[in-house]
Amino acid sequence: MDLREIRELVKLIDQTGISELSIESNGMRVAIKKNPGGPQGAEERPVPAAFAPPAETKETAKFIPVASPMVGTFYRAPAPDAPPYVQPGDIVQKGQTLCLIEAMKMMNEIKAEVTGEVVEILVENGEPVEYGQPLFYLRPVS
Amino acid sequence: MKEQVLHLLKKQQSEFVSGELICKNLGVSRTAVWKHIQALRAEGYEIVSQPRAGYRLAGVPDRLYPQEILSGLKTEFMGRRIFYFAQAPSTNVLARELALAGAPDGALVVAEEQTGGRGRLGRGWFSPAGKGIWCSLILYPPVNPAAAPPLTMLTAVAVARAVRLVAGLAPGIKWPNDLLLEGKKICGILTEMSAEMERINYLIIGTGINVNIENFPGEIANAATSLKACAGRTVSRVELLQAYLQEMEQLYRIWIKEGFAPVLKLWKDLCVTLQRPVRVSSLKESIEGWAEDVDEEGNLVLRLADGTVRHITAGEVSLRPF
Repeated sequence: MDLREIRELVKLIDQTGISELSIESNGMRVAIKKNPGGPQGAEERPVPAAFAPPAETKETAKFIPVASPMVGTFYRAPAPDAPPYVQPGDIVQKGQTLCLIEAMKMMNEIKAEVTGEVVEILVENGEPVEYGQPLFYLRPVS
Repeated sequence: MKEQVLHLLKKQQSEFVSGELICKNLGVSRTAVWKHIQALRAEGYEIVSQPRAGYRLAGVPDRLYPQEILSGLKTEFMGRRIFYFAQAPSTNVLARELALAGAPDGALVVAEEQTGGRGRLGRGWFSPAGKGIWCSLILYPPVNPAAAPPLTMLTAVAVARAVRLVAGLAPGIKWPNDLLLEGKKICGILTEMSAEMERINYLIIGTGINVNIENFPGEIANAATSLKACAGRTVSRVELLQAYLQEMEQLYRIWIKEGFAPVLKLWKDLCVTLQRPVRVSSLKESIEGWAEDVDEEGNLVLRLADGTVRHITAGEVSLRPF
C-alpha cells in the first residue's frame, strides 16, 4: 500500500458514515480515525489570540473599517497647526469628516458612513496610504 | 429683462438705440426701460441718454458679471450657470454648499473679492477686489475617485492655455498644478473632492489667477506675480475667464472620453519641473532628487542620489537651486 492508496482511503472514509477503519495488507497496518463532530473536520484549530487580526476577534467584529478610496497622503487635520478632525473615543455623526487624503493636490475629505465611536486610527498624520487601506475603525452607535 | 436691454445696447455697439425700439422689442413701457437703464448704471455700465436719440452704451465695467461672461462664451456646460458674488469668504466654500444643494454640472462660482481665500492645507490666498479671477467650478465627473486626482493637472493646462491665448504669455507648470511666470506663481489651484469608495459626490476646482494685481503684500511679493506685471498691460478678466472655461470644457471632455494620456502629453509640454534637480517637501520628510518623469497617473518620478526611484503622490516641489 502506498501513499496514493492511503489518500484514496481517507477520501473514501470522509465521504461515508464510517468513523474508523483499519486495514492490514502485506504486513502493513493502516488505521484511520475520523474526527468526531462530522465530516471534513468541522472544528477548526483556534487561532491564538495574540496573532488574530483585530477584525476577526469577537469584539472588533462589530467595528466598521473606513478605507481610503485612493492612493495619497493621509492628514488628520485640515492644516498643520489645526486640531485633528477626530480623536479616538470621539462620537462622529454620519457624514462628518474624519480625515483628508491628498493626491496631486486634490484634497479628498473622508466622511463617516455611519454614526459611531472612533475606536482606532490606523494611520499616522502625513503617512502615505494605499487604495483600500483601512484608516479608521468605527463602532456604530444608534 | 435687464440683460435683454444690455444685449440690445451691445448689439448697436456705440450707436444710439431709441427707447421706443427697446420698448417694442421687449414689450415693456418706457418707464420700465428707464428702470432697467438705471439698474445697469448702478452696476457700473456707462449709458449715455439723449433726448430723441435714445440710449448708447459708452462703457462696460471691469466686472465678472454673469451676463458679461456668458456673452460670447463658447461652451456647452462649463460655466453655463454662474453664481456671482461681489464679495465672498471663499468661492470653494460656497461652491460646496451649492453642490450639496444640487447645482448643475459645470456651474461656476465667481467672486470679485475673497475675504478668506484659501490655499492647500489651510494656507491663505491673496484675493483683492477686481484684480484677479477667484472662482470655483462644480463638477460631477463620472469616474472612480481614485482616477480623479489628475484633474488638477488638467486644470493647470487649461489655465496655461487660456493665459497664452488672452495675455500672450507662456506660463510653465510646476508639478502638479502651479503656474509660474518669471519663476513666480500666477495661479493657484485648490481641488476638493467629496467621494465614497466608488463614486464621486462632487468635485470643486478652485482657481485663483493673479490677473491685474500691481502690489503684493509682504512675503507674497517674493513668491507671486501677476499677468499685468509680466505682460506690461491690463488683461481682460472676462476674456481670460471665458478662455479658461472653454479650454477646461475641451480638455475635460478629452479626459472623460480618452483618459489622462492625451492631457498628460499637453501637460508635459508645459511642465518646468522635469529633467532637473528638485526638492520635494511633505509633512514627514524633505527629499532631493532628479525629477525624471511623471508616470501615467500623474505621480512625480523622482530618482534619488542612491539610484532608487520614488513615485511621489503628494508634496511641495521647489525648483530653487540648493
